[in-house]
Amino acid sequence: MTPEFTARLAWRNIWRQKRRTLISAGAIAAALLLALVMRSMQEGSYAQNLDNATRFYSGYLQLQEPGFAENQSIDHLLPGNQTFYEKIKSIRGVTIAVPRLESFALGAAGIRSKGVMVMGVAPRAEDDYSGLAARVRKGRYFIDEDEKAVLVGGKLAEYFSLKVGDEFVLYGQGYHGTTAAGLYRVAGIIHFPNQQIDARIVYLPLKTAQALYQTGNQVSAWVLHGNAVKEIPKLETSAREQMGNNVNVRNWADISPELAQQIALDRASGIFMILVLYGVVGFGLFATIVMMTLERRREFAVMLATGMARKKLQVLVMLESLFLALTGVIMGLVLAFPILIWFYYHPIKITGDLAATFEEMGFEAILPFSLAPELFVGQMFIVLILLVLCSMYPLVRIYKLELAGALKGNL
Amino acid sequence: MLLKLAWKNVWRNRLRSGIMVAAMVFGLLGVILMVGFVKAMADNMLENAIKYQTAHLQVHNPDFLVNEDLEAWLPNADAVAADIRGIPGVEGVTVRHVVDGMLASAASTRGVRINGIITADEAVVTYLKESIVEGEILPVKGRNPILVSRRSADKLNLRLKSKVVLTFSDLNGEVSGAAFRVCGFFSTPSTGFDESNVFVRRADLTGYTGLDQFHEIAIRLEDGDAVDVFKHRLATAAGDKGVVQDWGEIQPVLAAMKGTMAISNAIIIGVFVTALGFGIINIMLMSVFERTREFAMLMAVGMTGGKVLKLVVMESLMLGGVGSVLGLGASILMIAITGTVGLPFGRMAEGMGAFGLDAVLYPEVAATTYLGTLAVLLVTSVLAALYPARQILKKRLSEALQEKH
Repeated sequence: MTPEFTARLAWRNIWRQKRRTLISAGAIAAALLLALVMRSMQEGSYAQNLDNATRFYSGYLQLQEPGFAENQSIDHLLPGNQTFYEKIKSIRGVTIAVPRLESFALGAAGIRSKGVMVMGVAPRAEDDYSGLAARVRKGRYFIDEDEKAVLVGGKLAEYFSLKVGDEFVLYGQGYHGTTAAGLYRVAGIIHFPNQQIDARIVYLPLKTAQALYQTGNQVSAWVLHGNAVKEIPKLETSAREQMGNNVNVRNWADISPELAQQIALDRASGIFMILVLYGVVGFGLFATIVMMTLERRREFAVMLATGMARKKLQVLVMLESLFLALTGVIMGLVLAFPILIWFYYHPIKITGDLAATFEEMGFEAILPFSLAPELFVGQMFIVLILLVLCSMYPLVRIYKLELAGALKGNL
Repeated sequence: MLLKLAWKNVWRNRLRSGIMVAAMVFGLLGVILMVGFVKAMADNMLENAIKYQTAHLQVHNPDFLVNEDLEAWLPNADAVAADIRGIPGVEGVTVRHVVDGMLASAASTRGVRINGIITADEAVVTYLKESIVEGEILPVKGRNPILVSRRSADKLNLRLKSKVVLTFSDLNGEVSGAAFRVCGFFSTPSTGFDESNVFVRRADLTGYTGLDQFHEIAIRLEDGDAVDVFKHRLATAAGDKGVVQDWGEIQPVLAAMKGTMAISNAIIIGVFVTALGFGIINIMLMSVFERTREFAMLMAVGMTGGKVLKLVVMESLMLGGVGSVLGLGASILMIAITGTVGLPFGRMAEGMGAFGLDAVLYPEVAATTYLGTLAVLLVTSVLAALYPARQILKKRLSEALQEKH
């Protein structure tokens, strides 16, 4: 019996019971479809949120002075000069590097005051990287590198009843115990979806912030960006090698552990649900394969009696199971691909209450899909494992099949 | 007679029916664990928010809700609070003086909400006292004690008895400040709350802001379900001088999340019931088709089509019923165990903290969820029998009789 013939025989065998095969394959297809849509949506939104969220705060990586991570003190700073920038740009895989000076101050306008988060940024470089200018709702973005102007978050402006052109005072602790105090004009009002940030953030041009805190040409962090989220570990290693021990390299997960763990939790619950679903479908597949074996005991016995090797017969039933699973997988993929591709190019927009929930959590209210090949490979792998587990039964049955009894039709 | 026949038919192929029952037990265990976990998460989040942050009800000056302004105080807050305390069903009332400001140590500074509280009143409203992990709650004596969170303390390099400086605007708009000494660290399940709140004695704070009025009344009820009744009653009494909010209005995201979780649970159950339904259809199809001749024979000797349908439906129902009962039984046991022991989330604990969750959750499933799932599964079993039964009934008797399997 040639391999082609065995394959053809297996293919015909599974279609002897059309309905049963279709239902079993359909169950696999449905599970695959659901799993792919769900996981694609999950991974898509993680990637989207990461790219978004990291751009305006953590970056893929940040370079900091080793003491800064502990208490974000204004005393732990890195150089902000061109030489240092050149050194950073020579790290393999770094596409963008922007300097920031981050600290806290008491903001005051009129008779009100409130603790605010101060972010000194290089106006042009920052806009190219995080699109800060596009967040300006009223007024304008920074024009000069050292103008005495601030951009304030929308909620914060509401709190102080600030309008564009109003005066705003920042008061706090400067470099090495000096007093930091300055009077600025509100150039613009910006909007951040994350309300906690919107209610606390104040942007200054980097040079202005350096003058406020009397730090000289120093920064609290260099924020690095690379080509893709999945290349971060590689980027981290080369940054460590390049920068040495006097610079602390921190990745986004280290800077925003909550975000990293929320993603881990969400991913874990998604995978758990899919595994249980595959389990249920797997039992269905198992039942089908068991029936395909049991109802053909006599047939198998005849084939063995007329000279077929047990091994060949085992190959035959393996092929049958494989074809059955493949039919399901192909049906599932044919259904899933158009859906995934459509949503990849036309992400779902969330509206209403849920959208508010999303924005509150700092995410954009869209659900993008991912078409990462790992997702598909992962699902195939699960189906393959199911298949191997399910076909153990017929293999053992054939191995133990007792010819005389089976020929007589004893069950 | 038909019942007995159906029962025996189900167990003619023990292995096959066994697989189906196993599929149902496995599936139900997974689904119920998931549902229990999601519910535990929602409940825990709400419970913690109420326990540590919002209490059941809060009263503010309407202007305070627009802007947490020092001048937006509640008239006669202490007298109002005393009246509320007298209402039966109210467990505790606390009145706070609130101002936004900055917390600075030698190492660093942070923006915080400064809560001026009366310790004894606070203890019957929130779990501040229970959340203290080191040191003690604000003492009655001693100069300017302050409670900061463990998280802020780590970032500001603070120890017990460390000195910190609070800065804020006073009533005249002047930047005012004072030194406080750390008397204890608190830690609630919500990292966001921890990072942005400190507690001092109310009398200390009013001394520095220069305003002897209060901004916030928080109320804890004996029965959390009575929130609506109390809210209505207090709102009528307050008129337009004060706005009464329940926890859902103070934390709208949590309230929305509770609704979303109910829907997502229904979807999860729906998906699994559909999957199990397909499994039952498949099993029933096999079981019916291998008996084509047998059914034909029964009909030939006088069994009506209706009775055949009934028989198939009963078999399916019995199979589904046994699976459901065993599966749900096992699930109840599992939830009872995990609900007592708890599901720890070690590595993800901080992420849970961002949601305001404890690091260990105790899954819980409402009896209605079990009953609902059982009902849906039984209905699905009946539906799953219809297609196979139709296939057999539509065959011509003469052909069916000749069919060999």
